[in-house]
Amino acid sequence: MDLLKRFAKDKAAFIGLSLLGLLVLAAMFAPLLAPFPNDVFDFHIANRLQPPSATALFGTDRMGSDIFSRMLFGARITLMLAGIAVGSALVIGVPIGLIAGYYQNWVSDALMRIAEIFLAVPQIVLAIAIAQTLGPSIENVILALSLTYWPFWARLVYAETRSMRNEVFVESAVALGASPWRVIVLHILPNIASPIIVRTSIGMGATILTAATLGFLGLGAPPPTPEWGRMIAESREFLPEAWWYALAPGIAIFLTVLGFNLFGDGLRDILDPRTRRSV
Amino acid sequence: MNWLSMVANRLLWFVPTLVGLLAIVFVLSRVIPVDPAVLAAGENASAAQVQQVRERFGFDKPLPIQFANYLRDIAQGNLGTSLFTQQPIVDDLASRLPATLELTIFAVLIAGLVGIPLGVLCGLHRNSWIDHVLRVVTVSGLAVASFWLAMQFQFLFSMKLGWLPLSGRIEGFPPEPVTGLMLVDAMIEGDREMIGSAFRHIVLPTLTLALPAAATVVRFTRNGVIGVINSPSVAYQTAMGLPRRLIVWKYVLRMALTATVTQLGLIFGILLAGAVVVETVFDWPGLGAYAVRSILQSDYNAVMGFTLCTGALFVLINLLVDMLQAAIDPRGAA
Amino acid sequence: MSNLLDIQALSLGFRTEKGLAKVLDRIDLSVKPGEIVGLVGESGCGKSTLARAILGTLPEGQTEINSGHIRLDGVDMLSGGKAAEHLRGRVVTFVPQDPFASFNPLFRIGTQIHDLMRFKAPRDGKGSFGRSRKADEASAIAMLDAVQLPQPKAILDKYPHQLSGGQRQRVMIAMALLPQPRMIIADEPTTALDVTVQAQILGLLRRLAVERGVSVLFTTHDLGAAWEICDRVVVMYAGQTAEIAPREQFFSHPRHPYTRMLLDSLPAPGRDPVGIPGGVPSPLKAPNGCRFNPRCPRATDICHETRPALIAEPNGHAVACHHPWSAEAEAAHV
Repeated sequence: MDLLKRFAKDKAAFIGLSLLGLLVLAAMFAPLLAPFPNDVFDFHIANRLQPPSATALFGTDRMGSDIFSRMLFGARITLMLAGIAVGSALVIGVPIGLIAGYYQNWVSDALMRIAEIFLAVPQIVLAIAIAQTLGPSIENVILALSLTYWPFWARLVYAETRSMRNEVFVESAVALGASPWRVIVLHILPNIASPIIVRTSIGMGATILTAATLGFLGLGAPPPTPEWGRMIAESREFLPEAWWYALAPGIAIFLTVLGFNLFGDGLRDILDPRTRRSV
Repeated sequence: MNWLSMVANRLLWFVPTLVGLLAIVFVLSRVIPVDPAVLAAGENASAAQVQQVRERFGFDKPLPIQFANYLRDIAQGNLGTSLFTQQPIVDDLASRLPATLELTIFAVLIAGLVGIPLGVLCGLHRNSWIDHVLRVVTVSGLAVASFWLAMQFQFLFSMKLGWLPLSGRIEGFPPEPVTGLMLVDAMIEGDREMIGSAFRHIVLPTLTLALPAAATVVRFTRNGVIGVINSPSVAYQTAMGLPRRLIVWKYVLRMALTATVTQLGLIFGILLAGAVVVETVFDWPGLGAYAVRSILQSDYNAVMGFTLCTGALFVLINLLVDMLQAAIDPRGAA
Repeated sequence: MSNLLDIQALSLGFRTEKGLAKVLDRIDLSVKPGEIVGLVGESGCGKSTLARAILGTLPEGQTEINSGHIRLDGVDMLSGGKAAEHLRGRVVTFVPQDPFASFNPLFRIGTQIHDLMRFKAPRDGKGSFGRSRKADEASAIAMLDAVQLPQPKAILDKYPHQLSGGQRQRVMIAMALLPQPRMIIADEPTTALDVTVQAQILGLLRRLAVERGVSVLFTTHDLGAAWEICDRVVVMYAGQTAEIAPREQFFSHPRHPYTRMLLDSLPAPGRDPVGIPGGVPSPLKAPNGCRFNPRCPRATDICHETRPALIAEPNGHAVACHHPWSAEAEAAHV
């Protein structure tokens, strides 16, 4: 209750939450909200490249489809894609970080070295390489993003776990004979949850940007899919005439990432007392 | 002592890190459903020709042997030949590195020269109107997709207003390469038209690239300043009645800058990642555009060469940042 | 003799998310020239807040001053004007609790001392150019020698992290003495130090203060430390003054129930230490009347209703209690 009140007071966090709320609503009710829900796959060449009007709020694309409708369906793809990718990265990275941070033997050294090798190259470069290798599809984009994102979590959780390992309450639990499994799950994990939650929100924003970039480079889902990055890429050859073409998906990406970033900043202020801003 | 052992430790890990990196990329490139020999020989090649290519490039050997051969070649400075440019990849990379460096250097300069003063300003005048305005700008700068921003810049400044060129590095004949940085070379040559052209070409790519980096610098510097302002050392100096200007411009600033330097590695990471996209949109002939093209054309040797090059660059930059940090922070690399 | 420091009926609080925290409630305190006064109380009783109020380092924008004044050498220290600013670092100096965090880690000790002297060292009426850097250095070395630091010249070239805790606190004492102040505020100056070093630092502080006729306001939660160096002891409880007494009187004839219980909580030969049940009340929800009433065995109805006034006897012993132990009652256990 107290947390919620503080959250409501933070204007930026509130804006972030509202943006995310809008995004989720758009994704859930896309078929109801979209004026032309069939335009995701249908095309009407006669109507192609029409500027924004009362019928097509954000204009039409090269196939004559309603950009607004496609943008709404794009929210589904974006949320699902980033959600699964970040979720899988967490599922791989967090246990590795916990185990490596807890045991601190040669296995953990090796694991962290592998993580660091991944981190030695910008994520987008490896993701492009993997996505291209596997061929253009949404599943492969998700795979590419999770495979390149887990090392970030492994390193974060590793560092947090290591500092927790020396806390008195952890040492005493170990001394009292608690099993490593019990110590990790009951004592360490709850205490490092805050930074993980905060970074998850910000990581969603970053992942959406990376995914859109892959789509822009032609590595995402194949053409009729209303993926925002791909929509922007398609619009390039119609500039400067079809100025509206890239506008809606670009703003959609911006507001979505902004929402996750602001929400993450707000969470940080509430959950992470080390970096909390005073009144 | 401390400093030396830190550097030695980093250098010791340099080679294994690169080998690991290569292993990852190598495994990736051989999982591919497409036969690289078919790709190299061309669509209309006969089975015999494909077989010939396969043997020539060693694609017929077991993977571990291929990898060992590849490592041996690299150790000899041979990254192989690009399947598409038909040039040695080392030459390809070397000819493209300066363009990326030029972009990155100017972006870092902008990020630092604009970001640090603004960050200090926000930190000192916390919750003032300038702090609020810049918070909106930096949060937005980190949320915008750089390929989209690049396209909007092109649309507005090149297509509509016609102030700046759409893409490329220069019009007409390029200057004699001395540093490889076209703007600098043009200055060396002293041709005003050339300087103007090089400058007009670099403005939009640099701004697009610098925006997220500058936003990051502003945020780190701001938070650094706020952290130091609230520290016991500033409380002590205030209690001892030292003038505010001395405390802020000497002590706080130095602390905040040291904190920002630790983030330089991260900032270079942002820039290298951004270069891939920005170079592609602006047709800037650097490593990033080369990598995207190579990847899209399944030019594996080129991809591996690029990954190796970027990885080495990134590891090297991080080493330099650590050394710089150890040099300016007397507490040493702890 | 008139008081050097005179605090009367000082009430102040901090605005927090949960309301106003009334940290100081009508505090009275005075320090005469050359006198060493110990301000004793548990953690959270407001003694550090009092020190910060005098030094002007209360958090800006969060502090609410409700009543009273602080006068140092006749100057109002709460108004934040130029006169108060002038006194800080000259007439009143500061020895902080944490000598490590209170240095800036990136600058040499010599630099930090020199910056202090540039602005705060006495200038023989010749203006700020009357003394050279050389003369400043000579007096700094002499002072480091006076605080018994070996090789004082070498210390100037060192960074804070290269000194031990005790050495750092000696440097802090030297810096507090260099401006030739009339008063030093020492806020728990030995809390962060090893027990073996604590006594040395206290002895040093007392000797140098007595030699130079400097007053010291010394806050501590350690009654033993107060016994070591104080002329007079002031006991604070939850932001209120409980008892003021000369050192001998304080330890032999404590009159406030809290003081008694505090002394009983010390280990002594022949009896077990007795703890005080309960805890210090939150300044957000302080009890009415005497703030000690929830823990006081002698509390009656009046203690819950009316705040006892601080009543002084001719011998300088003052107590704020409705039911004090009588001065003639048997001596406390110490």
